[in-house]
Amino acid sequence: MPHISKNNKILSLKNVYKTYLQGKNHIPVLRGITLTVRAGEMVSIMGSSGSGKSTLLNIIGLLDDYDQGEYLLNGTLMGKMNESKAARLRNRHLGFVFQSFHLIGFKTALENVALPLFFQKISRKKRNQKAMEYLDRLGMAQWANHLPNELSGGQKQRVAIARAMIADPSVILADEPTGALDSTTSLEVMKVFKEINAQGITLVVITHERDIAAMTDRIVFLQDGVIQTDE
Amino acid sequence: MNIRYLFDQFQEIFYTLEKNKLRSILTGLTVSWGIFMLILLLGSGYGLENGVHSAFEEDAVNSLWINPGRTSFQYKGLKQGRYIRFNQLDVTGLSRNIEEKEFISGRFYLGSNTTVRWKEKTGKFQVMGAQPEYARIENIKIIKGRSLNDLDEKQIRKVAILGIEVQKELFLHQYAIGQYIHIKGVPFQVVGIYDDPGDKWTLDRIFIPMSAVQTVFHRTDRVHNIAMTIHAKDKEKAVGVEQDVRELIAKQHHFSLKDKRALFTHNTLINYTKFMNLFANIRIFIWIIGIGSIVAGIVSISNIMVITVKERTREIGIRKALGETPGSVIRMILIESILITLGFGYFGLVGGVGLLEIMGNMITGIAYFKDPQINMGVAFGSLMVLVISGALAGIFPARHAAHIRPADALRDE
Repeated sequence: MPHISKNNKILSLKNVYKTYLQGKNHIPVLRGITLTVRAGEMVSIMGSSGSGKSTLLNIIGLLDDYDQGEYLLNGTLMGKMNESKAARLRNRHLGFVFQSFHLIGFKTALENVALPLFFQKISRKKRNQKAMEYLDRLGMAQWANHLPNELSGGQKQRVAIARAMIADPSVILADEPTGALDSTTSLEVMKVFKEINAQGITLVVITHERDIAAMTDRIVFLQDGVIQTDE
Repeated sequence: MNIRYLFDQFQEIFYTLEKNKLRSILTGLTVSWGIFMLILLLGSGYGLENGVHSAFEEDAVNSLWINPGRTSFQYKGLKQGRYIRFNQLDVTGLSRNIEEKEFISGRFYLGSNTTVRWKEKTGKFQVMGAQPEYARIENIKIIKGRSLNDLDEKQIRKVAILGIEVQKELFLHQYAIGQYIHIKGVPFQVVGIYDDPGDKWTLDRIFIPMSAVQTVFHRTDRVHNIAMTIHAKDKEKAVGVEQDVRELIAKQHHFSLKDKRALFTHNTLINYTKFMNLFANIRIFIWIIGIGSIVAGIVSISNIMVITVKERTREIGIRKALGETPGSVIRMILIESILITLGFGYFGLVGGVGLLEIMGNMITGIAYFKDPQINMGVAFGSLMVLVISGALAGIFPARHAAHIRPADALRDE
């Protein structure tokens, strides 16, 4: 990956189509998405359920593939690729935050945060050190040795955000990150996102809440698999 | 992949196993149980086999027992129903003419309830006249004094050897050698005490020289029956020798070879081979059960692996989203499965071998069961089969799980 500077197109989708096969029916989910996100932007994607916003995020996150069109991640075409390659790209360049946190239940907060570095074959000592650093930045240091079920929703999401950040990704993708949180905690999480964004990391947030979306620089509104508005 | 990373991976796997104790233990116990049962079965089968082997130690396995009967039809002008009677000449005749002869002895029963007296004490025992070689045919062990010998026989000495039960009953643990016992009023000197580890039923016998019985008590050279051991490696040979013996005696005593009732012969080698065949069958049976229990183990492991992997779909999805490759996922699941089956299998193996050992020490003196054991090669071989099948059973669900798209694996229910 070349050096990332501001105003670089970090994500670029051209006419992306995605159809799911359900039984014998082809259900079009994305019908020609063209979207460009510049490095350092904080974008929210809105839309009702079934509008295709999660599918779009999965495609951007290399968690799913697309049928037609072009997707460039930091200028490199992400076409058909094997899963190992996709896994390595995710590990190096992308961070994920999910609505239901997706922390591994039998691992402590610290171990959850350190996991992406384990896949980079970084030594236990180094990765735990770095994980502790990130937990500290999110105010979670004292919870490092707790299991996820001992944490509140907001705390879990902070751990998940630390995990998304630990591998120094260029983009963090958040799928309804505040969906399972109360409004106070949601605002806190969004504050954290703003801070992260201020450090130059690109953020794409999926949400169906207007006030959450309002806290981002740009709102993309999706309906029936096409972009309705982009403001 | 360097050593440190490998170590790190193992650490990660052990951590996962430890954090999911119940799952690990349940999977493992299936394997332990399979191996444990297999070893117990195979070991017990071996114990059964050993037991029968040792039961046959009571008599030489290649012995031939010859008993006279009554003719069942006329032959060469001799009437039906004639009793065949042996004498010492039959013994020497067989001894000379049967090339395969090893040891031979006539037997003369003085009676199974003969009154025997030592000082004021009397008892009723089985007294039998036999030649010196008889000790070799019955496989008796002299534990004190000496056995009967050729000189006793030649000089018609009035000597006796006693089974240890006789010694216990008549002498009440006092030193018997050199003492005189009275058999039907005639004094005989005790020269030896014998034991017979293979046959506890014949320890209340008293043996005296054949010549002494014939001279002192009956004044004939009559012999009740004849026992011999033969050099015969297989059943065919043993049957051949048996046939030669029949021919020889039929000629001597003028009865038809076709007359089955004139002479009864009992060949222990044939019996022995019968038992060996039975064993081969028991062994096959045990193997079938053993393989059955292994298969049951394999099926359970496969089941558990499928369920385990299914249960971990979400975890695998998370790991993949964070950058774990499908290959690494499969490797992780396989190593986990191998570690569990190997560890718990070894545990079952040790348990099974241990129990066999305890059984071997505790169960003594039971007929047809002795020294249960297991061939270690077989034991470790079955463990390997279980480990490999556990791994194979894990591969398919692991591959499946590793290739589910993270988007699907992470979808909220």
